[in-house]
Amino acid sequence: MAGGSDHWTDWLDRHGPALLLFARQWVAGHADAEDVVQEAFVRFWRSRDSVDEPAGYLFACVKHCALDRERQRQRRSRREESVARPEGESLFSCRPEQAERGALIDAALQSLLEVQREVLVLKIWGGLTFPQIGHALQISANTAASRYRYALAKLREQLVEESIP
Amino acid sequence: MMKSPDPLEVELSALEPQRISDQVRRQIAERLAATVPVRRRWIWKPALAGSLAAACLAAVAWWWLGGSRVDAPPEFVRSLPTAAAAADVSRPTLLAYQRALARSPEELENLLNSHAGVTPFRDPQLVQIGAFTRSDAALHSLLGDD
Repeated sequence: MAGGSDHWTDWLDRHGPALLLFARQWVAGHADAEDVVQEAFVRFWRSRDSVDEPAGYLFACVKHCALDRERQRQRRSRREESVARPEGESLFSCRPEQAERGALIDAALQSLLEVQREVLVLKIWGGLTFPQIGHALQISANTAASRYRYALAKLREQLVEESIP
Repeated sequence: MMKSPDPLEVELSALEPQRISDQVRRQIAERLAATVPVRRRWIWKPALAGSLAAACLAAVAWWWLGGSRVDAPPEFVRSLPTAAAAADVSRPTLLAYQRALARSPEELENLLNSHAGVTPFRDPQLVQIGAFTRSDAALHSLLGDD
């Protein structure tokens, strides 16, 4: 397994922050993302023995639960067309000296296509390999690698534009 | 040769996503703790099914082996009527008494005496009481009359 242990706390310690960040791709706030992670993690833990790639499956559970929740929310409230994040809720817990740069990266991430952003999150913060990402997102490893490269290029471009006054 | 890491990747990796709160960890722990009996219940289902199957097999085996003995009744079943018949022969019948009485009272008395000796459950502790053979005076004294 990815965490090298078979206790749920080890899994949560290792993947928890990335799971939360991954859930934030679809749900609006931190609290909602925590609810999604909780639901997904419990589902994952109950059925983890039946899958070949548990780390990828864990992230797939989060995406599934997040999309489910978002569909329910949109059914209740048709007025929202996209995920609107509450003001002041950053994706990252930055140190003060990182805050400005963190905010730029946060905004640049939001500008990525969803299919690129989810691969980037799984690779950088989830620590998954491309085959694992492919498992999680039901795509090939090559497609995952390709999307990752495009995501990095787009992000770099965005950050350069933002840096130039 | 190792490829030098992309500076952007390094910078992104240095950013830490927000952590899961203790409250959510507690809730996950509670839900997973509540899951354990459910999993045990699933283990009991196959065990119960296995037990039922074993019981059915045992019942079929018992019926199969027990069924072959039906043709040959146990020994004690055949011996019981023999003993009962022997007892019946030695016991008096009403017809025998009537015939003995028709012949003579003495013969009836002899028959009664002989049958009294073969009564199977005769209790030696019992004392024969002939209340109506006593005199009136003896009866009155027995009843406490002055």
